Amino acid sequence: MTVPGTDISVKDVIVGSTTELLATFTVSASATGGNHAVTVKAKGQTSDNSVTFFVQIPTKIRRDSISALQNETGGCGATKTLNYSLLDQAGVVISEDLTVDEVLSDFTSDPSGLQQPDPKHPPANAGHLVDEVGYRIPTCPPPFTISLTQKFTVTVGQTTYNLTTTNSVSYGRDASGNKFVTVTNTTP
Amino acid sequence: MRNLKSLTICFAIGLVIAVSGQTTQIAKPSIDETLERSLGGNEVDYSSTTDAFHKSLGRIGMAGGSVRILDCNGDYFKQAWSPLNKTLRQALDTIVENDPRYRWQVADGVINLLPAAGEPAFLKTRIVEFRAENITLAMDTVTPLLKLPEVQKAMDDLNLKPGIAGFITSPSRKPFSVECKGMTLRQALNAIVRAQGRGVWGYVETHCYQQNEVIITF
Repeated sequence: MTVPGTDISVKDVIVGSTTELLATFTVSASATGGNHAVTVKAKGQTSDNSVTFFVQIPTKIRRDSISALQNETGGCGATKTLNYSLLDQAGVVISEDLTVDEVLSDFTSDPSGLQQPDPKHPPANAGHLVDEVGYRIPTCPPPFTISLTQKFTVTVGQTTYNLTTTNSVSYGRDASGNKFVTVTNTTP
Repeated sequence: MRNLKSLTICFAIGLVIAVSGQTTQIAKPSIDETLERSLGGNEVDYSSTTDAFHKSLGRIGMAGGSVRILDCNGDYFKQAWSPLNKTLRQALDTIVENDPRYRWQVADGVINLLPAAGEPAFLKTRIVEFRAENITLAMDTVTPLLKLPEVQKAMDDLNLKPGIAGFITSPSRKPFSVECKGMTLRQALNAIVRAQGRGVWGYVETHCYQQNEVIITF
């Protein structure tokens, strides 16, 4: 059993049944994404290329849901919960357990001088990622607004992939005391 | 005379899971083993020192915490962070070599990044008792911690006020509990991330004109 090129090596081929072969595929870190033809040779005959091995490339995260605003119990904060799925280049969920790195930029605050949140590195378990976005504070502060851009990367082995998803995040409290958390999602 | 440390009790319960009616302790790698793990990744970023620390720990899911002291000028120092071919230990050593204002240490089973000049007095506040049960979001411990009488007294004594703790974070998949008695605030933060399993806390103390502010995030 072979896969043309150097992206994927095949070893430990064994016969599972009269209609099944089992093998271990090792994918290089630099493998090209998409379908790779798998060829089987037996007794002088070569199979057609109808069987393929698909190399997934982490490409974007899809926002599956966003909760209503949740007030902090015992304090004056507020949060929203967002559920995401990590997708490959074909829009299929990547079911591996991977770590997503969040990249925060374009931070602004009103009044100026408020602190930017630390970027986090949440696990995407079986392709499912949960984010809590908002703020905590024991007593209600004066009106404020914090805005930033949130992007994502995923590292597999030694390769880091920049995802195409961008969130515009804003949270704060207005002059009437209304708390808000908005997350505007752009996923090309 | 009994050592004060012997009075410190903390139960991190998050690592115990029940399987088919039996209780199983999850075997975790030692800190030394974790420090020798390769980070993975090939990017080069320009990050603040604490961001570089958080990224290094986050890349392999190691728990820890960082301390940052700021003045009116903020912290504009950026350093190149590159995980390629680096173990966690090498990455941490590189971070503090690039920014000697900081040192890292293993404390309470996690990794802390502290000012080389010393730990802030507020983090040495001794907590009589703190308990959080069956939580999934470590951020939910911040307000209860800051509302403890001994913590509020320390804030008053040090002329500190809580700031707005903004966060984008991921809840734990499994609820965890933590109970702390007679430990310092830093030890309590370490106990919380240890119970959570992979969290990293951040402590920012800002002194600017008459504003002296503390923010704790997970």
